[in-house]
Amino acid sequence: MRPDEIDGVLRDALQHEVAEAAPRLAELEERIVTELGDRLPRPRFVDWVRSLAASTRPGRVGQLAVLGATAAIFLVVGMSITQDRLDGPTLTPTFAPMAASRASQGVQFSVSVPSAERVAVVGDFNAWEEMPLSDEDGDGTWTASIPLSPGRYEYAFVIDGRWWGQDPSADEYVRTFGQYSSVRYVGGGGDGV
Amino acid sequence: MNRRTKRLPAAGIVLVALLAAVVGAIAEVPLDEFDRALRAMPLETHDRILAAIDAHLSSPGFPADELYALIERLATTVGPTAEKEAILLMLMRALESELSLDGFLPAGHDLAGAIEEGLSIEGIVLEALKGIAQRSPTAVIVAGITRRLTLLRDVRDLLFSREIFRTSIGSTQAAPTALPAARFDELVVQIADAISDYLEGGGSPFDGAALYELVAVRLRRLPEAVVRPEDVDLVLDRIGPPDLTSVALNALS
Repeated sequence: MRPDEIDGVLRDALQHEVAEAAPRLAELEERIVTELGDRLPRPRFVDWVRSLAASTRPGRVGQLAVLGATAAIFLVVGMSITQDRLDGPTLTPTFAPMAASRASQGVQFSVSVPSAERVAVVGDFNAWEEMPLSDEDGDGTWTASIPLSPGRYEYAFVIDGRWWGQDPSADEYVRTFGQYSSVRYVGGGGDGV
Repeated sequence: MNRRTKRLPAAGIVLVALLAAVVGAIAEVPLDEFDRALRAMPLETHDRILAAIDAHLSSPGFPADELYALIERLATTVGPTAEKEAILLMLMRALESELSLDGFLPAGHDLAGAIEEGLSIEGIVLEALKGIAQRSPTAVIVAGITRRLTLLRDVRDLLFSREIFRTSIGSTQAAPTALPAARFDELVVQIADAISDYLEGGGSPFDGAALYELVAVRLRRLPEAVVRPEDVDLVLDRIGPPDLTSVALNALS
């Protein structure tokens, strides 16, 4: 057998072994994560995408309904109402933590944009994938509550497709790729939480 | 006879073209192969990634071979599955945003190499995703990935040079300067991220004092669940403004 043939055989054998071991390794990772417990407090953005991928499964519909109802209650109770006074979008976000669990807090994102047709929040907590805000009573205040573990989070609002990254009540701002994003510290030294 | 001899070369050309088309079709990586390679990891977002590939596989110029090569590399790369999946999600998001993969694939290999080095690349991928969400040009996003990778390596090496070490996973902390892997990695990520944000925001790398102050503020504002105060004190005590200027300049060079 020539050396290049041996390489091919070895590569095939390795790939086969990896494929065979994958399910066991997945369980191993799960066990380790479980044992680590709260030593890994921050949500990983892939978890968000995973939840998106899983959201089409029929079994999740009930869970989503419960979560949606809970979020709606929080929104109705916690939403601050602000009237718009300027021509452009008037941003008066609130960022009030609501105790949900020890591991994470429901963080409220709110922006008053009466003229908007569609408002979303993007951030590193949702892999910068648009999460729509709602304005159920039509007063122009768009709101969403997102459970976040302690940490530093960058985010921006997307108002009718336009990036809006300078939330006045943010702890700080960063400017990357030529546009601003807001930053909030949850559960730490930030001003808002 | 004369007409027949004229037709022969033409027929030959047609035959060669047909053969080339058949060989080309065979050379393309079929979706089943992508499916098999992705399953080797395995991924939670397998279906979504495969759907994105399927939607673009027949598009002209789609770099199927190069993408397949990267997936195969990731499948055999030793490292956290979540970080490997993050790279694929970045490519998927680029596809969904109708961006060419040509620039992202080399960056994907660079990120895979970083995983092999033991670097935590999730934050870098998140920045790339932000760039995609902002509809930034591919070249700018990829340049950001390269710069942040350089910073990650240089900050890690800076901490090593100041005798702040990373213990292996599972081992106990033998000395105050030998930090458990997760704590060490988080420090490196946060410092590198702060320097990168400073530079991208227009900060001068020569203003080491401002850079040091920004890093210090960032680290001290982080919740204890993310970075421990004693780790912050340790690192701020052992690095200074000139160190950060040097790291920043190298990232820009």
